[in-house]
Amino acid sequence: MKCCYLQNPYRRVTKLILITTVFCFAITGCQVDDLPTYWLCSGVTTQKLVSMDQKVLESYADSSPLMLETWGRSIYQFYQPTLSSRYLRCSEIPQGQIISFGYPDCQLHSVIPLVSRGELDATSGALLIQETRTFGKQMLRNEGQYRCRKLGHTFSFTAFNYEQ
Amino acid sequence: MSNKKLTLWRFTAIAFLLEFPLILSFMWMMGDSTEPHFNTRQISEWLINYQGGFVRRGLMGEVLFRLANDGHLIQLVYATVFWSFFAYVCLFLVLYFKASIQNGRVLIAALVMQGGIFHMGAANNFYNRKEILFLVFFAILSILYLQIQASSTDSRKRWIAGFSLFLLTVSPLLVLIHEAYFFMGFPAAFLLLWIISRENAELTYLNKVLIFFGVEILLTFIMCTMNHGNFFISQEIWSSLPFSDRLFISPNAPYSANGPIESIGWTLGQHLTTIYAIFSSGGIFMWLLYFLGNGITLMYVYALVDPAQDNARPMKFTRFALVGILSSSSMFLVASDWGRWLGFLCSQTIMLLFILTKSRLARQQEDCDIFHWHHQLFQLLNRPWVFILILAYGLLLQMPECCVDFSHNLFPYDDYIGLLGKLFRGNS
Repeated sequence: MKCCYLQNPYRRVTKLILITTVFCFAITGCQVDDLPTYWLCSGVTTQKLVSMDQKVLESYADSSPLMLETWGRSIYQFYQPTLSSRYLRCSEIPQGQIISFGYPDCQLHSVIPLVSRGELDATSGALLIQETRTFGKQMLRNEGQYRCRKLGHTFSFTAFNYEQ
Repeated sequence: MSNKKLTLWRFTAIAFLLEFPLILSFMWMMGDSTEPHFNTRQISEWLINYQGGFVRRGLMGEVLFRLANDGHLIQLVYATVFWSFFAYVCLFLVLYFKASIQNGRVLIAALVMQGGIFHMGAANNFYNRKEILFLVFFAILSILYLQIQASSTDSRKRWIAGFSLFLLTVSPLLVLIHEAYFFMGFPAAFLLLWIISRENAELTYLNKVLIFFGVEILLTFIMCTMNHGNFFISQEIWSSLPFSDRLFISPNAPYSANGPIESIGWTLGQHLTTIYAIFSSGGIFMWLLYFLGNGITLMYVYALVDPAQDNARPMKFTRFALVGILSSSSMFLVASDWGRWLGFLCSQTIMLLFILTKSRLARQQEDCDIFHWHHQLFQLLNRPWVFILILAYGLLLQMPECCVDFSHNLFPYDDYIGLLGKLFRGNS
């Protein structure tokens, strides 16, 4: 039996329509403003284990760089082991304004034992992220203070490794 | 150069390419260095367990957790990783000899290929991820297949029954170890079982085994995706680890879930942005180079082992090789560690090529024109200069697992030269 799939004109036309459809769908989806935006940040994050009477039991610090990715209403954080990796954007972004975000949502109080808040000054690049998590009779406080520069819609792992 | 000298050089090269990575891996994994023996993010992937409830990828970590019995887990991870690599190297060699390939250039090309055995040990990469277990499993399946082919009619039925039982028992465990097995190892294993069922049509129960195998793996995969995990499960898993291990993996944040344990709680959007990052980082161009290099290596190996190479009329060998590699390629659309997927895919494909040389079905004449074209293209690469190109590609570059950085793609000879210098000077 000959394998005549490509010789069948109907299959050829079907294949062409499919490719054209996928291509058109793809290019109409790619508007620049919809693409993720990257920020490369350097600074320090601290992690403190605190008792209920606010006594610091343990304290750690980390100066690893952090990459922030904003995409739609989501903000993702990469490479900083102390902080959460996912946030929800709480503000619209007029030019030069503060981008505020939080996890699990934008409410000040959370029904789950985790509250995470962050603010990025899109003009100066100043980033502050604060997280509080309760477990048992102790509380965990993570705080990161960074200076960020906007990379745009592309980035380089070389720059990230250099920062590190 | 005389044949004797050439054979000696070839033997020396093969011995070096096999022993060097094994020795390095042993030194790294089984040595008593206080530094992490490999990337701590990779270590934490082995530690995902069921202490936060059933979750994808948790089986291996749960086994290690139980074996450690409140002791340190890290040493167990090192031992698991090294002995898995050792097993894979041994099985690969057994497969090579049992398939009667008898071509030193094939073995050398397979060893120096990016993501192959040489680079696994030399760069301390690839073999310390869970897909090493997929490779070990497929190597065992391949050896069993060759045993089936070499058996008499009576014993062949027993070997096929054993093969089926082994496949059906272990495969779902691999999905529970890492659900990526559904995309990476399952298609080739299914193809192998299908070939066995066609070559032994009188054993009608194999059709039922095929269906059961597909359904079993699909259901296990669905179960894993439904128990995807979330932030709290990832924190529970992390908190279940001994504090000393957490401090070792993440010395600056021992109370925050690290690496793949933390990514258990990732959303689909987070995963998709990592694939976008392949393009937005410009890494796609380096990956195209690695695809080309490994592709040429595979085609060269194909050209040398193809049973139809001396025959103008190709065999179904080409068809099954292409089906095997294409069906196991979907992982590139799922996650961004393209180096891992490429290394695994090429290693598995080489084993598949070895066993297809003994397949009665693969030796049937091919009647589909499109595979004739592929066969002629691949045979064009059976040239001495292609072998030299493959050697240069394999020995000059070092493919990363992911996150390609343009400044770190050369094999780190300077590190090894520096190490040798320290050894000769008597420094520790």
